[in-house]
Amino acid sequence: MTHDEVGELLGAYALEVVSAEERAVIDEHIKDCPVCAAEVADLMSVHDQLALASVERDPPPALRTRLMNLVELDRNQWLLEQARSAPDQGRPTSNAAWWKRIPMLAYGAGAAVLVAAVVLAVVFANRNSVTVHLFHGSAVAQVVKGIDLQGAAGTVGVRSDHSTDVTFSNLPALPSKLAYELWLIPAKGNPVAVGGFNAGANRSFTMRYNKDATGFAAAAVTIERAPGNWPSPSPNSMAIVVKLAS
Amino acid sequence: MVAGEPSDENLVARLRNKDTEAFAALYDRHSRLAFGLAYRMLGEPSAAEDVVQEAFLSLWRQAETFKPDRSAARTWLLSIVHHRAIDRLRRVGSREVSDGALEGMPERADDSIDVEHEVGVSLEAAQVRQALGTLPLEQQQAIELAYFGGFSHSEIAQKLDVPIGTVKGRLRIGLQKMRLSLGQAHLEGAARDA
Repeated sequence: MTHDEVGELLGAYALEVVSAEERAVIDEHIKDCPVCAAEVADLMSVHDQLALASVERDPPPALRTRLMNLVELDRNQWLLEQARSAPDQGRPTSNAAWWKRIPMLAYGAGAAVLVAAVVLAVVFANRNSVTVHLFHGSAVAQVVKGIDLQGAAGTVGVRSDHSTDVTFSNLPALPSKLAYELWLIPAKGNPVAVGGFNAGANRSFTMRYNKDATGFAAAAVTIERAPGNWPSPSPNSMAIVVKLAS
Repeated sequence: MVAGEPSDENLVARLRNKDTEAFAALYDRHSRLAFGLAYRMLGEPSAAEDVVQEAFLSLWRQAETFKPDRSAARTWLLSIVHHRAIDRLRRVGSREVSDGALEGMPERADDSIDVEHEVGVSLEAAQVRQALGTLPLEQQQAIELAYFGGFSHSEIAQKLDVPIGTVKGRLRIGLQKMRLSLGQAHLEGAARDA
């Protein structure tokens, strides 16, 4: 194809309506022809603006809701993968010591069996009550079939007398063989079991623990398989790291 | 974008860390234009909705591939919408070249339109419409069939019953004129802002 023949096609090329063969020829030609390359750049800039000639329209409101649900699910999966792969990448998958793979907490080793866990991370920056948001979403519900944590929320706060208040709402009651367990996670070292609990009939839980959470980097709630056997030496459930404190 | 709000590029950068608030902000900022483009191309709300959903999910999942030095984030998003819509149009199969792709064309722009006062439309969008709408009809038709209809140059030639060389010329000259028109508008805008 001659220079002039290529030139005739540049509008169609910029609009991406040439054949694959024509595209290949033009791609080659503009590598060595600054005149055509410059024209292509000019015409492509117009192509990129043509979308603006459309009239804006309101999409259905449900689309936003659906997309937000999808990206939230994606985010949870991404965080889980981050947590799983950070220090132990390449090793056979083990759900051990998930707390070491939380990006903000890189350290140590451990052991575990899977059930599921909800991690809520909170930096204990001061002694005032710190509000944290418990993860809620379908990722957890998928792991622990039948347990829907949608809408669950909690706070973990340190009191001036060094005790720690923990309050949760909208926590689903667990089957008899499962129970929640609260953990405090230091920046280095293993999680410290605070205590086990189950949600009451009103799906809420409030407890004051005689343990000072000051200095811990995060708090986590797991769903454990060993009710009545607290405190466990280490979390016995896989982490679904869903929200890390900023 | 309101002054003080994060730029699109900043929001896309935050998507790399799976920032859902940044995603919501991008959606709220650009979903109307994205849906408008998809609807214009596909002419059917549910198909347009599917395409916009796919495009925003691509934005979310492929944010790390975005190159801010190559294009604006909005351009990137609309390019995804455009390509998804084209894919869908072509997937439908052997479209009848004689069907009503021209029926969705907007009325030709009136030279008397004061683009700065076109309600609800950004100045840039109004300038693009003006640049497109003031082209000779045959050039405008060819560009719209190519861009919004996804027709190849040979299909356009068939549709308009003209030689393919004529279509190539109309596309090229039409785009060149739009380039000049938009470049002039850009210069005038810069002069006003100075």
